[in-house]
Amino acid sequence: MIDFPLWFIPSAPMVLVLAFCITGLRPYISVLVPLAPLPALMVALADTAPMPLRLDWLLLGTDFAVTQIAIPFLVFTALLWGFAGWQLMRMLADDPAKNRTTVWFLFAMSGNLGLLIAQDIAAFYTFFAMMSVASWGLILHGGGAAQTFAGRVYIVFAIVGEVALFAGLAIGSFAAGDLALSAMTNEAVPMIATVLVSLGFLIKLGAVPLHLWLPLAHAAAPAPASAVLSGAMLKAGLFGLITVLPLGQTALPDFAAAFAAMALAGLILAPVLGLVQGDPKSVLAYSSIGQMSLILLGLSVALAIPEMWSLISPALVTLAVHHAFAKAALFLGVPVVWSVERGAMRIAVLALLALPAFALAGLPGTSGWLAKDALKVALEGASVGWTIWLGAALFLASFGTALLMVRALYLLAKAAYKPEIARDTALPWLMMTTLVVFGLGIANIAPDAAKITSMIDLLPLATAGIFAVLCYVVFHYAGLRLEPAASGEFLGLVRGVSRVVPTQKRKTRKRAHPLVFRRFDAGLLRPEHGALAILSMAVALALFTVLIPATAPDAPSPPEIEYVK
Amino acid sequence: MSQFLPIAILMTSLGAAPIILMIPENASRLRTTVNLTAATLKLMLVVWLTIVVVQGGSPDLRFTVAPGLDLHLKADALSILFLALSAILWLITTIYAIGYLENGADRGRFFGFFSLCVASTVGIAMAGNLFTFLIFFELLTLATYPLVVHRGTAEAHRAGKIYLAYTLGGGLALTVGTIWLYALAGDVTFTPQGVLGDLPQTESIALIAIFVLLIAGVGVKAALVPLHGWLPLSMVAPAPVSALLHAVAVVKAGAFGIMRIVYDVYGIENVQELGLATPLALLAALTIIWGSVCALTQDDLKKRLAYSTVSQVSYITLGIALVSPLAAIGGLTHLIHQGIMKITLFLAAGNFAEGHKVKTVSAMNGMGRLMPISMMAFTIGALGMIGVPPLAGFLSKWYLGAGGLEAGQPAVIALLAGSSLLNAAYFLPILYRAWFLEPPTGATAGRNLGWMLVLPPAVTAALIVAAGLFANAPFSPLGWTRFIVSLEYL
Repeated sequence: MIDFPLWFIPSAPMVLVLAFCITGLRPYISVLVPLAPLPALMVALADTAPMPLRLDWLLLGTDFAVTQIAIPFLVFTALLWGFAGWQLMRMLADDPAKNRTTVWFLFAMSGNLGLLIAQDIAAFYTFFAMMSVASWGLILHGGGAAQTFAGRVYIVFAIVGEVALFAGLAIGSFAAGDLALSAMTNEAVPMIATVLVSLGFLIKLGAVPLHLWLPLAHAAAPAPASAVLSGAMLKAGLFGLITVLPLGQTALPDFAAAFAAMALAGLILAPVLGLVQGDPKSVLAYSSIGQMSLILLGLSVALAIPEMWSLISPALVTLAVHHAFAKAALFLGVPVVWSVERGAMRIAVLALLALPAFALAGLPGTSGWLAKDALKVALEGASVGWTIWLGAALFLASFGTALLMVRALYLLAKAAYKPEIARDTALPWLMMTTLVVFGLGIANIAPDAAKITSMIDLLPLATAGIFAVLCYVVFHYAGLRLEPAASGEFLGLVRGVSRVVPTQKRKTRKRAHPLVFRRFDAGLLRPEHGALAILSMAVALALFTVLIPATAPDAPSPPEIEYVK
Repeated sequence: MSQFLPIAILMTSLGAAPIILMIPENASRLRTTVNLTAATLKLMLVVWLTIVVVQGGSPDLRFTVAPGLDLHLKADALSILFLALSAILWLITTIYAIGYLENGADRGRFFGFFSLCVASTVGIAMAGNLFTFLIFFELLTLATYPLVVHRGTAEAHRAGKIYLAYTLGGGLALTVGTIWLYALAGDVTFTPQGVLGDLPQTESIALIAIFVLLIAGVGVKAALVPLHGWLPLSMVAPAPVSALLHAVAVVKAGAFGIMRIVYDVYGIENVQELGLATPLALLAALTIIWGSVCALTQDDLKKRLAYSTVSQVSYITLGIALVSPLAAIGGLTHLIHQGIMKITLFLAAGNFAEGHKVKTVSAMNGMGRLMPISMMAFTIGALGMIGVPPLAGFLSKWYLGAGGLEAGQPAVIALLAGSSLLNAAYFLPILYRAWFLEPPTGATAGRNLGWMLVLPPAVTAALIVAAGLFANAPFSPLGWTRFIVSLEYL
């Protein structure tokens, strides 16, 4: 296998961006987009870890390395970007905004791959910001009212997250006296830095009160972009948290409590809010919130009991990898569903889509079951008080996800046929569905496969199934219809009041006046007279005359000596 | 030979001015040749001077005007910082201005004073004592006035009048302060860590008064609130002038003046002991926030950029006033970084006005499609201002933030965060309109701008990326400022 130097991972998409500036090359570049994450994949799958790389002149001195925990992240991130890129290029073939969106896509890809291998704060933050800002362009792609709204909400959250991250990293690295990312786990790092950095990552992860951008963005972006947003970029938040929190070292009970509260809120809210959505992509987005909350729950236990991190970490990674592949397969399946008319073909597509859906819900034998089981086993070691509580949470997660999956498939079954979508968007989706089955193996994660399926594992799924059937029966026979809620939760309820701007009046008010003395309008204070400067001069001169006698005696002497010499 | 480099560099601009003024109005080819030759020559000389300074030389020239009053030119590391900025950006702006004023009126006058303006900047950069600094500082005021009123409209004349009122008032304060300081301390030669000796113990009140006067004098040009009123009005000037005003000449001369006064006249320790550092830092903080808040409300693109300058230049002041080497690095690098970012924004804004008559933020719709290269440059500049890495602005903020912590002022982090948010709030809507909204119907038929207008912002945008990306390379702005700061904070 070819040994790629590490800098090649983030630069491969950037090279394509540069080549994209040459108009004549664009058709060829579009073909290459799905191949841009290939170096990352090859590095991740190589038998031997590549040499760490230090680029002294880059930024503040850049370190690249592939850490043990980054390998599975690198595998699924690269695969997701590759297949999503493939489908995106197919979907955009005749789109007027194709060039613009391709460039944003490549930037976001470069950022997402780069942050997984960056070992110093400046480079990590650069890649993270690149990913966040470039995703804005992906969300705004369609240009409709939904996209505008989602874009606005997203960029506000993203910028606030970036700024929090900046502040946290700046404080942390200064306190630790080190620019290495690993220094953030140092004991010298003050609490406020950890809080700020976590805030930045929790926004990316979509932890509950900070999740408002997530369903909007996932629904507004083109399906392949939603696939990477949900599958790969949310995990960047998780990766960040794993990197900067002192997991397995120090117990942070306050953090643990906060994380647990967020996780529980997410586990409860995600199905409640997701079920009333009318857009299948929105429903999928809420299921992502639920899954991320589950991951957050794992983190919170590890923060409370540091010794458990060695057990929890593989479980969380398994969960992340599984969710990445399954959720990406679902999102990539959306345009495929749209591209076929209702009938046998659509039923076939939906049947295949049910595989990642069931995997997410944790059907025994699937990757989701393995992942959830791993987490369950890991959490069993926790003290008694926790376990009862966690068992309920795990049940809730599976139950909620199962409901959301049923809802999403139901909405997809009813979705309108869109003949403009090319049928060959199905190819990357089929590949991704294969990965749902084999993905964990490729990422080299082998949780104990010799689990015995117990009836308890089926309980959440069965309950959800019964609940779904009951709902259907009740709605059908009582003649009820669910009116989908406005997207954006309470943000969706807020409307901007259109202001009548009195343009004429404003202009005559001489807004250019920077001094706020307008109210007095005394001629002396108007800036035309530069009065402030002159007044200050007068004061200064007065001071001068008062003070100069005191200093006069010794004053002339130094210059005299000067010129006598 | 290298002893005469400062005067040679000064003469490339100062000498070019009268020549250009004498060239007949219609001989534009000759004028262009003189302009570009002078600018290129100066750039090469500055490179030479940099090499000399790196090798430990410090060319030093004195002409005694009157007993005790010397015109003193010398090149130290701090001079090089400002010289390199003005040399590179002068060349770029000259090319842009030639393209911009093609077929315009009064080009002879324009380029003559343009050269004079840059000559004063060079003089300010290499001034070896406060007196020389004052001479060139006043020359700059006068040389800029004809540029501000170049268009000759009533609005331009009003702006010019206000500009003069502010800057001459500031000049007066600076003059009084200088005379007083000369009376106290003799020849005030710029020396790292100050020239005051034991004066702070004996004459502390007088020194405080002088400091206030001097800072008020240079603060007018550095647009410190409440002395910033002239700056947003001066945006009536043609685009290359605005670019020069905001990035290189006037505003930067003010900021550079603050550096000289704090570092090389008073010395940072004395400033702190006299209790002057904290008020200056507070003033800078106020300016940063106030400028950003004002920028939010402006619809006129150039005015929004002007208020953004008010805010961003105070980063430099803040970096100086926070008594910390790291903050000083942040402030000094920002002298360069703000220069290249703001010049990019103004040149691109000039292109929008020239190409599609777009002068307001609300008319920016679809600009990305209409003028992709200029808009790309504008985007890089704007993201840099917000502090998005790996662009230049991020590094300034990073060092300022670390410096704030080092100085025991964690509030600086909050200030930077707030300022970043405000910057995002007034820049991102522009980017959104330009890239994601459709251009107004029938707007595609714009003027073809030619390479002289399109290339300069593209080049400066590339500089922004390079300054950020290769920050740790030895001759990056960051690398150079680290060297300077090591001299002040031994």
